[in-house]
Amino acid sequence: MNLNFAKFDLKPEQELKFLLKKKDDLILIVCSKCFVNYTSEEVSQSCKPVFEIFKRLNKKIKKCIELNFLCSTYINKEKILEIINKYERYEICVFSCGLGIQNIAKLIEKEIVAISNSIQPKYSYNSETLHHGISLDNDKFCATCGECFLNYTSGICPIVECPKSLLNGPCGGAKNAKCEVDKEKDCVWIKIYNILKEKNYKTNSKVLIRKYNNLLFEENKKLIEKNLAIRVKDFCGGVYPQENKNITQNISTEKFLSPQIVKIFLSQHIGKPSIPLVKIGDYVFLGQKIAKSDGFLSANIHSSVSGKVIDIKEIFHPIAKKNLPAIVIENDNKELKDYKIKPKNNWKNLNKQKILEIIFEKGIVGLGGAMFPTHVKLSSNKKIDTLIINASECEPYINVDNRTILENTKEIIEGINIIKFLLDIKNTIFAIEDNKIEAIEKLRSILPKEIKIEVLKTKYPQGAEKILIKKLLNLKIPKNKIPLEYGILVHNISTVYLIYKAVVEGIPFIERTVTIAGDEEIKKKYGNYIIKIGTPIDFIVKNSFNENFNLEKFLLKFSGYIMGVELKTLDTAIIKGCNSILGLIKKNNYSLYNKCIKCGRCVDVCPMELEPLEFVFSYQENKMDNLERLNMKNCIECGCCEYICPSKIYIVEIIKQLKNRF
Amino acid sequence: MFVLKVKKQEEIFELINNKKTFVFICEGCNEIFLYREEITKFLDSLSKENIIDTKIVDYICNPEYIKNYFEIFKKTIDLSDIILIFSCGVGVQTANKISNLPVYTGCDTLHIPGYKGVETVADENYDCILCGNCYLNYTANICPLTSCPKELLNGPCGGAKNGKCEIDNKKDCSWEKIFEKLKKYNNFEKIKNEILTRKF
Repeated sequence: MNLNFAKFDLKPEQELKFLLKKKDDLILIVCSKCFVNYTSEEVSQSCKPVFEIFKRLNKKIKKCIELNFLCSTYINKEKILEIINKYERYEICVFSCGLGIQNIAKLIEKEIVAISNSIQPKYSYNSETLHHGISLDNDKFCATCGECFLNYTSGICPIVECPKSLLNGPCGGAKNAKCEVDKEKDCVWIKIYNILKEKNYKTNSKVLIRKYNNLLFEENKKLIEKNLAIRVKDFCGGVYPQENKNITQNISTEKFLSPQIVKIFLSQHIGKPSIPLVKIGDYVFLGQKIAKSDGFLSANIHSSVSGKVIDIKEIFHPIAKKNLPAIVIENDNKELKDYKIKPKNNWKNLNKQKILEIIFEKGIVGLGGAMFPTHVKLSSNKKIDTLIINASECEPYINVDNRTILENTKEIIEGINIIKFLLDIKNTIFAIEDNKIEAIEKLRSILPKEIKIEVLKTKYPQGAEKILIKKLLNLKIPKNKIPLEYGILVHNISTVYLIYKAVVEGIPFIERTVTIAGDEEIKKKYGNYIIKIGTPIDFIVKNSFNENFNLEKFLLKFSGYIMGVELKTLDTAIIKGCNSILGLIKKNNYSLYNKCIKCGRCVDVCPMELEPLEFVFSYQENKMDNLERLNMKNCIECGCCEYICPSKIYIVEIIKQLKNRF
Repeated sequence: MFVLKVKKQEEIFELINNKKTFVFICEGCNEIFLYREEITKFLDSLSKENIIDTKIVDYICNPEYIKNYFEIFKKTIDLSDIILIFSCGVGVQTANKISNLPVYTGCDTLHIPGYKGVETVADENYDCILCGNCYLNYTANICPLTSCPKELLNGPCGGAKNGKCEIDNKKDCSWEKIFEKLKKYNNFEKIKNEILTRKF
């Protein structure tokens, strides 16, 4: 019997009969398989023969439980233990590949019955062939032998494709170029010979010998251990993208050119949009309040230039992805400052209420990405024990936090003191990643002793709030809860700098540091710039990328390489939460409707221990009923799953749409 | 799962042999196991005239994607004599099928035990080699094929000392573990009845 399984096959009936002697009440745990196209009937269909055989053998199946990826301890440990406790007196049968069986056997103190044989993927003759799970009709395999012969055999692997794994030429048994083991198969060595002739490969000067000795085993073991050590084990999942930080790492921050017009959105933050205070035709000063906060979760907005308001109209908002109102101001380049901008040299004379008022008035929002109004976070009634300063900038390319630390260290310390004063916090942890060597050195020399510096190993998405807390304090914050309820406050380093600027220098949030970087091919001038809020994107593109750039061929990423959004129009502007503008070569083959092949990589990299492939399945089949069970609300939209997906499905976009529908 | 080892430099030098080279670096699934530093070091040591272009791509084992990459970089690929690929064996074989130029690899691919599809505990005692006839029922759910270096199916070889394997002193003898676990379950019946033989 051959079921359409990717990796395992049901054992013959006779053997099952022997195995299940005296065992009548059974629980069946089925792995819903990897490396097959994800369809709805798949599991129930393939389980049918099992039920038939069990019926013939007079065995009762109390319950059949299907789990995704039994080989993963992360996602299935709790579920398996729960099942085992519930059905303690039953015998457990497992239908999965050898890894799943061993995984369960490791978890429990009871003998389990394996009812499947693990089989190799089709067409392969070697026991350790890898099916890398890319496209299922792909008939190429790799035996992971550790000594690649492809260079001498014209790119066809004789170890995998030749049933005899011959390395020194054909065996001589081939008839009419067909293999003597399998008459439908072409002889691999004849294929190799033809291609060698045709493509002018380098012909082999050495005799190919496969090394089966222990030496290689030792060497491999070392290499594997070395590689596993790189992988930080402290939280589940995560990816290690190419950092590319060196493009702008050593360029000091400078002011970007002043644009002719600015377009300032009324939605610069999470929560309600602000209410405009100016009319068309009004003259506004630099730093003048042009829109006021509307309610509790909202923030003030200030003009980043001096000049005349020429329009209030709807423009495409990059994050909300729809047209939203914005105030358009024509810059007169005089930089006339508003009368309210006055430096206060000693903030220690102010009381808490006054400082909070300043932070609210100056329109400060969190720069960690969520754009949460800062005064809301700081005016909590809860007792706060720990302040975490988040400088773990794990996104590739971006150097905003890095440069802020290097250039404004003293201001940051002052900012931390302001927050500590406001909330009477004793513990402060400064979390920084180990790829910012210079910044760490500088912090170590300047930072006072009561602030603890935690150097973390680089891994994406370390900077996410909940993950950082889990890592530093070993505390898991459940869904629908915010860290404030647990007495923890997390602030981004750039926000701290803004608080300093607002309280001490009196400058409202009118400009921010943005990294502009990208591929070498379209480079005009990359670097870290202080850019006015509302600077149009087309102005930035004109001054940073060269004439090769166009939206058809290149990808413009707004605010981050992995988490950022793709811009499809240039008619939009910088908002408060934007930390980078990246010009990249376009990614190909991405779509919302690509077929999931169930390789499980998204489950592997998900830091929140979710199963992103289930969301894709729900979306594509329009089945919304099990989203609650899958904890979709826990998703932090970090983009790891989309980054690693070999089928190139827009997983984050799917999750965002599902969250809206929910 | 697998991990890549960059081949010895002399070996790749010999292959390139002053020909114009186009380099693909695959960053798909081996993403997890970085080897990038070694590759950049190696590419720096080559003379710049030899390397036409270096491109970082992902999942070149998918024929559709690699076809696409060949189209996008057609200009520079046409200038080159050979293509050098840093990826697993599958990627090289797929590229070879599509390319008109000779395709060479700069990597050896090694197997990581315990990784298949989704991450598990990486452990040499805990692996599945997809042999096709599962013995786990008779051996207390410990696989002798992957945990015993000699892949013995009919019992311990007798070379173990103090419960440690004679091949690797740090490793426990897997047959001793199997025996202890069977004792615990008090279940010697099956292993006595069935003679385990591997069907090749």
